[in-house]
Amino acid sequence: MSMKDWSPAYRRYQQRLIGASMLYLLSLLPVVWLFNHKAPQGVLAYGLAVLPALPVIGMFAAMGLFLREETDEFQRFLVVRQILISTGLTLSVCSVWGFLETFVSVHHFEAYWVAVVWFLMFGAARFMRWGL
Amino acid sequence: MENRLRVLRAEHGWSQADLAERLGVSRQSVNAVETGKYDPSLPLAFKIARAFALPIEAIFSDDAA
Repeated sequence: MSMKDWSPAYRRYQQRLIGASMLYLLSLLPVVWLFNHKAPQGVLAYGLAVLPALPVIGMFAAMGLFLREETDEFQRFLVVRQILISTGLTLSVCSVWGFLETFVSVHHFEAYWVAVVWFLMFGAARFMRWGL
Repeated sequence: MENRLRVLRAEHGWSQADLAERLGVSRQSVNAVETGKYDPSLPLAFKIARAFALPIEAIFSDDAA
């Protein structure tokens, strides 16, 4: 689908995704700086630590809004299929990695990498069009 | 599911883009339905039927039937 074929719902989804990505950067960089230089404590530390996760949640919400707003059922079907493929692949990778961490000495990844892997898989799933 | 979309479009002189515009969907969606890669929902099938002023069963047929 080329840019000129984008539906209004898809355009809104792209705008929300870009907005959430910018908010992510705008929240992550100061939070990293604060924890490196000021070592916040208590409730403030919890609040600051959670801050960069909120735009990531926003990205998933943007996806949900797209599925609600898109009126073209085939386009919705393609995105739902993409979500299912990326979810399956991500859970598979994480399951394999989890057992490797438990039984063999491999690098431990923080849980937020799951979202990164999911988005990578989501991008890759766009090109997995067997039967379509 | 089999369909006669390509023939019906040709009879009306409509391109996939023309039909897509009438249905309010993307050209890619019309192509997916036409080539049998995607079976439309009942509401979309009714929309297609209305666009050609035909009953649904005159456009779509079940392979198993």
